[in-house]
This record gives sequence, C-alpha cells and structure tokens, in this order.
Amino acid sequence: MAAKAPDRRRNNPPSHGTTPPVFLSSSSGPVKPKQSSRPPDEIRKIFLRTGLISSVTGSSFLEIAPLKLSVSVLGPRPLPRTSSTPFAAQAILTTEVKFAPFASTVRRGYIRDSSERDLGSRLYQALVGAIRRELYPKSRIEVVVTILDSEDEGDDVNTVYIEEGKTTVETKFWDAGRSERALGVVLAGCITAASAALADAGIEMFDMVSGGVATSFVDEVSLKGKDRGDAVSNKLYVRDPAIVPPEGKAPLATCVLGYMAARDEISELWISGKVGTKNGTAEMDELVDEAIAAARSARGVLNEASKERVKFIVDKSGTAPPTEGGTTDVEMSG
Amino acid sequence: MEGLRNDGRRWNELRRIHCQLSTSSTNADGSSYIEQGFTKVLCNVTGPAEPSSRQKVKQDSATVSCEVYFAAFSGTDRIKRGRNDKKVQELQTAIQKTFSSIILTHLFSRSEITISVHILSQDGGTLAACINAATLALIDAGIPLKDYVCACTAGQSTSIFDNEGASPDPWLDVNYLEESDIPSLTVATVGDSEKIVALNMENKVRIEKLEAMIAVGISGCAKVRAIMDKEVRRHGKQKLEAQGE
Amino acid sequence: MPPPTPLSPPELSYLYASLSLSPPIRLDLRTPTQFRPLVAECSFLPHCNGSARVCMAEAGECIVGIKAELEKDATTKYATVIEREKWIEVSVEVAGGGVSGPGSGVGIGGISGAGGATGRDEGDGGAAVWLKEGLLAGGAGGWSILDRLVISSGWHWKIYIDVLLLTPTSHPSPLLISAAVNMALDSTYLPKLTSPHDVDDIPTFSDDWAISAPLYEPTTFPRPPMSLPVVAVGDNVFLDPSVAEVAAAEAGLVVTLSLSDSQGNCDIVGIRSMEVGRGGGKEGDRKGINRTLLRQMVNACVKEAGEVIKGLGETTHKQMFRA
Repeated sequence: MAAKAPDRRRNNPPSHGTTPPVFLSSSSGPVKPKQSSRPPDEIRKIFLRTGLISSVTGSSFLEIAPLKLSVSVLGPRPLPRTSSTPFAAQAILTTEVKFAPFASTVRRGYIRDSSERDLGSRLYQALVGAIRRELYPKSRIEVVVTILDSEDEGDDVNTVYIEEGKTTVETKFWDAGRSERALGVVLAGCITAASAALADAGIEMFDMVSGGVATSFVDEVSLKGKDRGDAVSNKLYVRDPAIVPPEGKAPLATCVLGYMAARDEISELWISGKVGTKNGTAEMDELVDEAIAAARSARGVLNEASKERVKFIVDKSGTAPPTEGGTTDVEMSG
Repeated sequence: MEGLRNDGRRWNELRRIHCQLSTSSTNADGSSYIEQGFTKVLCNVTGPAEPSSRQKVKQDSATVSCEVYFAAFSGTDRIKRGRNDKKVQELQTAIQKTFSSIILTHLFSRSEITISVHILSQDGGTLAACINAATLALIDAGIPLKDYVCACTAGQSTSIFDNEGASPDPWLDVNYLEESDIPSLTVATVGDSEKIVALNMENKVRIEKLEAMIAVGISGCAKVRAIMDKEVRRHGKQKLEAQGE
Repeated sequence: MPPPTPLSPPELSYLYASLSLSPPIRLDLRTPTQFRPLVAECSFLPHCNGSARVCMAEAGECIVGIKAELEKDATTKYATVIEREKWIEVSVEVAGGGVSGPGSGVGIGGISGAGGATGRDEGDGGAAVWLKEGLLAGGAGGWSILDRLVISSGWHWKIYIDVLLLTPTSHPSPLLISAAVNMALDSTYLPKLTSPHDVDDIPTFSDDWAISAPLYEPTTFPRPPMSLPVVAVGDNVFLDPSVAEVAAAEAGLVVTLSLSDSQGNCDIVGIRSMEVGRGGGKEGDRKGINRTLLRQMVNACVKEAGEVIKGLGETTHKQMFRA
C-alpha cells in the first residue's frame, strides 16, 4: 500500500520521541538505563481506589509506578431492542482498552490499534468467566479502560545513534520481549482495576480476578553460547518487571495471567517467549507460579480497596457496618 | 526468434490451462480453481440462497452478486486493494453483468447467487481467468446455465507492418508483459455459438485491427471451452464412479 | 461472545457428557490427541517469496503469501532508528467463502475474542497480533528471525505475511492459519546478496533462484512456530478441537511451539488462552484453569506437537525440492 501522503499543511512533530540525541562517543561510558533497586520477588506499590466516577455504575483508578489507568463499568443495562439483537440468556460483556493519546512517548491516535484491541480481548477473557453472567439475562455490561500513562522508555531503546563517519557500531537491541513486558504490566493492571470496578458496580462474581505478571531472565552470556538458556538453574524470575531488564540479564519469557485466588483458577493466560520443555512443563510451572505469586500480592490490594469502599459507603449511609468476617470475598448485593 | 513471442509461444497459442472443480469441501456450494499460465484464480459460489439484504430480493428472479478479492501478494509488488478500489469494482460489475444474463435466474425467484473470486496471482488476462473460474464454480454448484461462458484475451501489436511487410497477426492470450505493452481485449462467448457476452478493452487500437482481434479472441474462447469441458466431464465421471461404489 | 454453533443446549450437554467420559468419545471418533486430516501444498505462487495453502474439512481453507521487500533503515538527522518489530507485517483477511461478508465479526478460534470487540471488522486484528507475537517470541532464545532480515548496513528486508482465510465458520481453528503460515515461512526464500555487506548503497541481488537463501535454514533450529489449540472438558484434554467441541469445552489454550532439535522436541514460544463456549457444563463448574489442568493441557501439546510440526516440515521440503 502506498504510504500515507505527508501532511504538508501543518508543521508536524517527529513521529518519535523528542529526547535530545546522545552520542555514544561523547559520554564517558555507555549510556545505561536506570536500574530499579526493588528485589525481584516484590511487586511495585499499587494505588487502587474505587468509586471515583459518579456517572457510571462502577469505577476504579489504579496506579503502579508510572502506569495510571481508570476503569469505568457501565451496566448491567438492557440490550437495545432491535430485530438484529439476538436473545442473550447471559449478560453480554464487552471490554475496551484505550491508551490516551498522551499515554506513551509516541502519540497514540484516537482509533484503537491492533494491540489495544488485543488487550481488550485479553481483558474480556480474564473477566468473562468470573462474572455471574447468567444472573443478568438480556443485558450488557461494558468495561472501559483508559490508560492515562504507561511505562514507556520511548523509542530510545530501539534507536541506535550512529555517529557520522562511523558505521560499525556494536548495536544491542533491547527489543526482545520488550513490548510483552510493557503490555503485560498494563494488562495485569487492567485486570486488577477492572475487577475492583466490577465489584464497585455491585456485579456479582464468582471471585475477583487479579492480574499478575512475571518475566524470566537469563545471563546474557548463557544466551550467547550453545546453551541458549536451557539451564534452568541460573534463571532469574522477576515479578512485575520493569521495561529495562536487570543488569547483565536478557529476557526469556513473560507470563501474564488473570488469577482467581479463592478458587485457585487461572482465567486468562498469556505466555510469550521461550519456555524450554526439557523437564516437561517444569519450566513453565515455575514461571506461572511466579506470576500467580504476583497476582496474589495484587489481590491483597484489591481486597483492601474493596473493603475501603464498603466502609466508605456504610459510613456515609450511617448504617451499621457489616460483620468483619475473615472472608476475602466482597459481598455486595446486585 | 522469428514469429515467436517472449515466452516462446506462437501468435495463436494459449498458455497452459489447468483447472479443477470442487476445490474446497464444505466452504461453498461450488468451487473451482484455474491457472492460465501464471494467472491463478480461485472461485467459490454460494446459492441459490436467501438474499443477504432486502434490496437484493427480486420477486421474479435470482440476484447474482459478485465479490472480487485481490490477494495483496498477487502482483509483483505488494498492493492491498480495498472493497472500493476501482479495479475491484470494475471486475465485479463485469462478472456480475456477464453471469446475470447466462444463469437461468427465473428459476430461483427471491434468492441470491454469490460468486466470490479470489485472485491469487496475476499474469495477464485476469478478467478472463475470473470468468472461466466462475463458470466452472457455477457448474460445480449445479446452477443451471444457458451454456459455458468462456473468456480469452487477444492483443494486437501496434506496428502496422511486420518484417515481411504483411499486417502482423493478433496475439492470443496475452501475458502480463504483453498486456502492458500492446493494446489487448478480453472477449467472452457463450458455448459454441460464438456469441459474445462480454467484451472489454481498455486501450486504443486502430479500428481496422479490431475485427481480427475479436476473431482471434473468439477462436481462443473455443479452445478454452474444450479444455474446460474436458475437465468438467472428467470430474463428473469421477464423481459418478465414486457414487457407484 | 462464545463462538456461535448450530447446536442447541441439550445437544451441547450431550456432547459435554460424552467428552467428559473416561475414556472420552469424540463426535468424529478421534482419540483425544488425534488431529484431523489436512491438505497442504506450498510454493505455488510465482510472485511470492513463499506461499502455502492449507485446507481442513470443517475449518475451510487458508492461503498465505509472503513477500519480501527491500527497505532502508529509517534515518533522521542524528540517528538511525531501528524499529525491528516493524520489519515483519502480518495481515489477515477473512473472506467468508461466500457464506458471510468479509470480516463479519470473525474471531480466530477465540484468539481475538469477538466479545472484546465492540466495533465491526476488528476480528482479524487479533490474529495478526498473535501470529506476529509467535514469530518474534522465538527471538527470546538469543536467536531472532529479525537477525536474518538484515541485508547490509542500512538495509533490511521487510516481510509481508498476508493471510487469506476462506472459511465458513466464524471461529476457524487457529491450527489452520498457523499451519499455513508455518509452511509459507518454511518455503520462503530470499535472493542472494551480490553486493558487499558493509556498503551503504542500494544492495544488489542475484537473479538465480537456485542459489537463493531460505529464510529458515532447513537444518538449523528453531524452526518456524506453530500453534496448537487444546481444550479441556472435565478431566479430559483434547487436541485440535472441532467447532462443536470448542462450544462445549470449559477451558481452552492455544500453545505455540517451535521445533528445537531434529528429534522432534519443541520449545514453547507462547501460550494464550482461547475463548470457549462453556456449553454443556453445569453452573458453578470450573471458571478457569487450575494448575494441574494447565500442566496436563500443555503436556499434551508438547508431547504430540513434535511429530505434527516435523511432519508438516517434511511435507514442505518434499514439495520444495520436487520442482
């Protein structure tokens, strides 16, 4: 297809980020991205609050370091009564994930691109099993996620600055698994926040789904050799990974999942990257267990946020607080 | 080489034609695949079925609709053609008009017959290959037709005289190189009758050359018909034998 | 929305019951790990660097054409921007084989999940993302397909993978598409470079296809990836489920694998959950996959896949060298 005709009427900004160029030779050492001091088995701090948007049935706002997103739940509301609408014995769930145009370094358009649509359907998959859809026949529930800010190192990591006259530069690409890690963290956040918003909307669920993400890393050296990272021993698992890999490590595989802690079931699974099968599924199990552990940590925050909201409502209405049971489920009548 | 074209054919030779019926098992009511040289076309026919929209309902006859898809990889360069592409629309109309007059539509009132054509590879004579493929797919679907519709292309070298000072012969079944070089036309005939149902030419040509081109085209259609008929009979026989067992 | 089937709730319930028996009974009497037969041919399009056509009785037909185009690395005043992920472009076009219009809310085996899509004509986007992810994910092992696309300093190949899907169902099997893409990639050849590697000028290539280089060397590993759908009903796991089985199943995965040695061992390069109908089960049944079941499902794929992928690869190479 012919490239889109350039827009000549406006003075267009560059399509990439506008960080000033850094020349390799001008700095004393190689440019290193910032390393996080967080231990690999710890997830970043999560801020989660529900009931922020009054015009919708349920809403939530989530913040994990740079990631900020808001979720609105609309419905359950009746399906439009047209001849083309089929009878639905169960509620129809629709999910939509959209990055705000300013959410990443490169501006996003208003029309959802394929990765946003893909995130939407991943989120659908995560939530659809948990909702008691049979209680809401002939109706629809809409989950709309807007990502306001996301962790995005920009295109810097994919940009190789080559000084004029110098053609041979040892280029190192950090693109392997980069988008999976970035999207994985976003998806896990979407799942956790959407569950909170659904609970806020009073929609009945079998269990709340929390999102977890983990990445396996190997030493860069072992990647280069014949071994190709088959040795399970020197693997480093990082829960809730940042885009920048740990020093001297190369990413192997990323696992994102939606987890229902009370039922011990995975509603959505997305693994991308290389997982060896020398020892059967042992390597996959390890990765999945790490992601589940991350999801469990997020579940704690989810529970607290839901409780907080219940307390707030109870305080406001002045009725007696519900008995504080040990249950992790949030009981809210639909 | 004297008198030979760039791919080694003489002026009145067709390229190799390979055709097949019932290429996909459950997709459609009828399907076919045809190769004319490097032009490769796949065709599926569905129907007669309930029309997909109200507008397509005709009280006394069937509606014939046609969808043409150019695969993005079909040409030398990758080109994605959308639904509203001019070339796609042109082909659709040409095929739809041709077959509306050939299918016995009065037998199927208030129904729709859909011909969908997929162009996988283009090397000249695309329209001709589409029409031939559609004929085969319609036969495979068991839709009553007046007769075979066979199409072929013919081109005319622009020089007035050839080396011997005689008027040059028109070229039958032009390939992509020839098609982009010289004026050519596509002609489709009904069965043995030499009656033309479709004639399409997009270039300028001297009026006195036209008749010869059409005549060569028609003779090509007869050859194509013989090849198609042979395949239909072979396929039919094979099917009957399979049923007999 | 779950894949629509012509089956009624009682039929689904019957199907669910027969699939959850021990040993299970499938509608077409296959064993749980048996695949359906498929017809496959490759390298039949002269204008493409690689092409394949795969037909499966129920799922329809899939034609893939791969074209490679020469592209210059984008340069700005200061920097060479190398966005390697854009070197491969996958597009999936669904033409309903005359049954339905193009892209009428199609979800590829639930991969794209038509339920998540609120608009129309969005179904194929998900499949393109999934296919590309599988291709790039193999790169996590230190070897990347993208490395093969580098021609010389400043130049690379851009690979267009166009998938044409002629299908009667709105949720065709991911196996069909993935097998076709696998074969097409395996039969893709790139012309041999005749100019030196380290020159910035436009590279030149040899016209001789006999000395062209395969995109995936037939003797080295990893091989092109391939995705296998697997569903679970009760305690039973089924490979290559039919549309009806997907509608009745409780859980589904699409496991993408790539051969890692000549013995037919595979590495997992991706797993995605697949949308299933949850048709015949009772309320309050399984809502997700527990870890035991996950292990069981993935194990089934890993065990059976090697032979299938190897078989497909051998077929490809036989067809390639026959000509």
